[in-house]
Amino acid sequence: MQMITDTQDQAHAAWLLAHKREKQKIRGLQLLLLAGLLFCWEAAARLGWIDTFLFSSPSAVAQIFWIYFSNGTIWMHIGITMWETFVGFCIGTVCGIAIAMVLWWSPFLSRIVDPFLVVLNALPKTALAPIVIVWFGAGISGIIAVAVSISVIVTIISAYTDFRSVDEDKVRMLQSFGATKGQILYKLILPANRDNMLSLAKINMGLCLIGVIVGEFLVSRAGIGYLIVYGSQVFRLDLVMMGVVILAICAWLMNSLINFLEHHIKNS
Amino acid sequence: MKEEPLLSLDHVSMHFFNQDGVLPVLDDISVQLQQGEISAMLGPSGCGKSTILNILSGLLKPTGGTIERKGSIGYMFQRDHLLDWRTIYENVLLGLEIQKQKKSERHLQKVERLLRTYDLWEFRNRYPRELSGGMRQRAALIRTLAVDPDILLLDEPFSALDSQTRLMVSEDIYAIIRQEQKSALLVTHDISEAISFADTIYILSHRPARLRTVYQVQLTTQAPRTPLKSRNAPEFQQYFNAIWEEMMQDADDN
Repeated sequence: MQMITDTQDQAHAAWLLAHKREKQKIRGLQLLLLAGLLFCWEAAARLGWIDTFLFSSPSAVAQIFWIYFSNGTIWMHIGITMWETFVGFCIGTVCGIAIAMVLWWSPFLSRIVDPFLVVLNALPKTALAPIVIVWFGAGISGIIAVAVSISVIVTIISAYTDFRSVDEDKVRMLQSFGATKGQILYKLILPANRDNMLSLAKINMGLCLIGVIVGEFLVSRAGIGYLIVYGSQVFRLDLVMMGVVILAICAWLMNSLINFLEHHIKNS
Repeated sequence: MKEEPLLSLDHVSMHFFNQDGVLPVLDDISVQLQQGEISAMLGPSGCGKSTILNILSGLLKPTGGTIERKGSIGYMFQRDHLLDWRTIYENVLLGLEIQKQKKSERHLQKVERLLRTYDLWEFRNRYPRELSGGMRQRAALIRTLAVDPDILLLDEPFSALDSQTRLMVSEDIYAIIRQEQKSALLVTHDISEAISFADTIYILSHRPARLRTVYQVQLTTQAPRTPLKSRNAPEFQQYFNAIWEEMMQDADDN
């Protein structure tokens, strides 16, 4: 008996090791791929195969990053973009879910606004950005408003659909105990949709970032979107590339943060 | 002298409106439920059983006739509808919570007694997904009983279970209803279930539902009667055949 368990343990250890090896291999190849791409780009720039005026080069991007980093302005730009995204995300998600609750509360109202929501949802919201900026001012508030305008409609429609999809018989079960509409919402509809709300938050984060960058393209004196649009206006492609790289890193970090929160909430 | 019935429908009729006109669903239904009695309403699928239940529980108002109800209603559904994110204990307290009686010592003691008596006390901190179908259905019944209803409405409470669990659960539920001395109205399309469960069976026609016949079920079984013993009673088959004939006749009339 002991023998069998021993060999099983060994086999398990071997399996774990193989599993770990494979993960390391994938991670290694990913880094290699990235390094290879950067190397080719740099080499092509130095050997004159590509025009550095149009394509810049990794070393030029690193240099300009160092300038922004050492005088500290990079943090200001990142901070502003993140702040705008965060505020837009909170307003868009909270308002969207609140409006979805109102629509759930009043099916009559939801039937009235339905065609308007459908049209607004189909419309590319970036087309509204110039109007929103005019209305809310050419500054941080306007940019946040653009982010909200992009995320809120999707939130309303998905949250409302999720609320509606809760089993009608479960609603009747609560009604059979004499539950009020508020109790049904609070005890059934909202907790039943916890996971849906989390995935909605994940989508919203991405949408708000789009809104903020679009807003910063249109009007701004700071932020990552500003760096990108300013760089392209003065033909400093190294600045544009740096902006894009920083944006990619920020988006990745935000996504990891939400995944982390999601994991924790689901396991609590 | 006959006791006042706990629940009575007197010449109740019901129709709905839709795009094409008037849709009659119930036609002149009269039903009575006495204290401590279990009755069954048996009818073909789609005959308007859920409309009757909605009228009985007060969710719908009949368009004709009167309904009299002495006491509160507890509803038991086809599926258990336990909420996944609540433990069994939290689920069982749901009704009390809604009626703002969660802090009432008397009710909490009752819940504890029910959970202990029906073997769920040890599982009270588990989540519904960790329990078998039969245990879940018992928990659902305790959730209903916790608010102390006088009348239980059972809406095909076993039809979502597989046949083996179904027999076991109906034994359990029957025993609980009898022990807690509740009156119950079972709505079903299953003939054997109706005979094995009920003292009185009301047979409904297809839509618009009318009362075709009323059977008083009298079976020779060892006391106490249980659904399983009822199924083995010598009269069971006779009732089954008679009701089957009745329902086939109804289908032919259609």
